Amino acid sequence: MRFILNQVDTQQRPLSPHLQIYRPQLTSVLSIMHRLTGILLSLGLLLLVYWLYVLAEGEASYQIFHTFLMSRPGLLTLFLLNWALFYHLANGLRHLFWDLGLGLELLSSYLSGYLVAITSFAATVWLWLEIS
Amino acid sequence: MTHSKAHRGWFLQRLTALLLIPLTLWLVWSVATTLPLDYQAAHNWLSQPLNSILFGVFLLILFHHTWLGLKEVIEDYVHNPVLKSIALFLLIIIVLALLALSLHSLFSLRL
Repeated sequence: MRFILNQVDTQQRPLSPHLQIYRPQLTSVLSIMHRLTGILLSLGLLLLVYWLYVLAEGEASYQIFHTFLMSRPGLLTLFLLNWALFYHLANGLRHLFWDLGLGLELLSSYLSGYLVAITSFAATVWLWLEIS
Repeated sequence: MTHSKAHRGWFLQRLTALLLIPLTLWLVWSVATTLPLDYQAAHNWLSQPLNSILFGVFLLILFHHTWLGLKEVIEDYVHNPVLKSIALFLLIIIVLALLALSLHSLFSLRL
């Protein structure tokens, strides 16, 4: 019995159903966005690691990377990553509430979905207006 | 709660997510108030023990969370068992290497 359970645990674990099965709707789009922003943020983590690396390297190395970050493509990258971060954070919070059994009804999940989409974008724009 | 491997991963993903909320807001706030974050400002900021420690903790938890998330993506989309094992192995190596590099950078800043 224990052997069977172990087999189930390591090899037969259920996978998420794939996207093309479904007709796109707000909840499914937000769901795949959570994964996409997560992947995007993983790439952003590379930038953070590199930033820390050049900071430890010294002023000359840091200056080159800093100039890139403050350029138009650099700022656009940072803005997108900022938005992805706020989206992933807000939607992640939505997931944590679901894990507690809260907000699972159809209406609540749609309302919280709209709330996440709007607030994450608005918060990013607000922050960038605030610091510019 | 943490009896099986799958359960453990599920639980740790939520735990790291929860811990990352205050740490992320702290980092965003810190960066926003230290702009334009030139060399001297960044160096001063990370030379303060509290910031340095929080940043180290943030990196540890963030790398763990990133690993769990990318692992889930690989498990969902890479079907070939051999490729899947290779991808998961490479993921661990890359995550550990980047974590080591960033912690090394962080420690060398404090010297």
